[in-house]
Amino acid sequence: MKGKAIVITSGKGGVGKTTTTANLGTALAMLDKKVCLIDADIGLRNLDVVLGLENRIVYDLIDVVEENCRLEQAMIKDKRNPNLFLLPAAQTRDKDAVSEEQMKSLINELKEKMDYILVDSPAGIEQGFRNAIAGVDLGLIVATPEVSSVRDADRIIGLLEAEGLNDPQLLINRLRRDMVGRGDMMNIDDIVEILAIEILGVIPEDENIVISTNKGEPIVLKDKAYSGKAFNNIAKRLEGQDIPLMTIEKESLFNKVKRIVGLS
Amino acid sequence: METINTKMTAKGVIIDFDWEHNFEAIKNSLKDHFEEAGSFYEGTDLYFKVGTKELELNNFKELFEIAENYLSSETGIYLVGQEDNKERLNSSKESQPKREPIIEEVSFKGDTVLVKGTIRSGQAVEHPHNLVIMGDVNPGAEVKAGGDIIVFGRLMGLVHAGAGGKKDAQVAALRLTPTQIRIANKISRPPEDSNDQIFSPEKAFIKEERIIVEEIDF
Repeated sequence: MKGKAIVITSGKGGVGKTTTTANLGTALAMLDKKVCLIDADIGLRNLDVVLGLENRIVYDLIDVVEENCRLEQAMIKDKRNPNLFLLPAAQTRDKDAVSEEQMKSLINELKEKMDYILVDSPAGIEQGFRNAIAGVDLGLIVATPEVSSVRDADRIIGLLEAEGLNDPQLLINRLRRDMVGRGDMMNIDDIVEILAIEILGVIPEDENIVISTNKGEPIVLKDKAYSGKAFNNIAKRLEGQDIPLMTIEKESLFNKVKRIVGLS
Repeated sequence: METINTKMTAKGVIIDFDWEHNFEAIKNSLKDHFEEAGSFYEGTDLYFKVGTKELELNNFKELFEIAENYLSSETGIYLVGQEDNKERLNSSKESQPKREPIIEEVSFKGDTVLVKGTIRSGQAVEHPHNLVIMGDVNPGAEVKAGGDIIVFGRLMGLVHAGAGGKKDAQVAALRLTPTQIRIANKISRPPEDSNDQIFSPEKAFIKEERIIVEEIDF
């Protein structure tokens, strides 16, 4: 097996990297892919909490690189999906506890066992970010429709290209179609025009995400959630399926009725 | 007096050797001691108290080698003589030979340490013996002790009592809702979806190879 390693990054904090990693990972695992999520945010780990796996952590990424345990011992199997694994970050250490070379060899080892390795990058462009992008094949940039987020995304794209990670792909998160409709929020075209990279998906703003994150249950497990569907579509696109972007324009009353009745 | 004794000071831990015993016995008990202490000496400076005893250089080396096997490179090892510093030696690590004489010796053996304040996410408290925490232990925090752990507050993070293998170690807290609880080599976590509404103090201990939690009877 030769898996694909993807880093989920943004530069700016709070745009949804961890939520994206958890949901995209779960969605890929639901497509019967073997997925390992790596929390590279050492010292500020969150991915375990979002997945509801915090109380299962015995060993972490630092234990693996310091050879206190074998890789398999530190990989936590998801409680819902046997295809999904989490390699948690250490909470009481800092970003310098691991090096880029160690991350690279770790990811290479995982590539032999997994179809996908998703690395949840910390915010910022310092050592933690450098560790997160070491050894990966693709960069996924998460940006919200805000000027500051897009600016940071642009910076990150430049840094990735400097590291030889060309052609990163874009995920636009927390898009509010009502605000875009009123012209109060940047729309997809505005963002793509600035960043000039391929867009992989758009995730609408959804208050259910807050609920699911707090509960430790990824939103993709909820059939009805709009945002969950968006993540499922992104997973399918990564798998090479041709799925059009979800319409984010306000749907007409007729379509709404059709959707509720279940015709579309 | 036992073969070796440990004392906690403001600067680090003093290891006092009783040279009445033969050197092999001293070496063995030092080995046992490090084995038991696990990672507790990480980052603490160690002082080997030589006293007035004159030892062969080879013997010093052997003691250092034992220590080095168990300790990380961040741990400094120093030799302390009685009054003069003639016998003070450098270990192979980068240690400064000129150290102020050690004052404020506090008895260390079997002691309990009191920690005041909230232990927050990412913070870790470790102690080779018993620990009492006056405050909460938040989720993401780690508390580890060689002996018992008592939390006068809410215990919500990770707790490890009897970390050196002491199976009769206990954990007690005013509210015991840890992320994960470890005693000696046993690991347990609270059941999923448990809406723990117990507001009375509880304790956890090992019974028949399992971690049991029960309310504390007053």
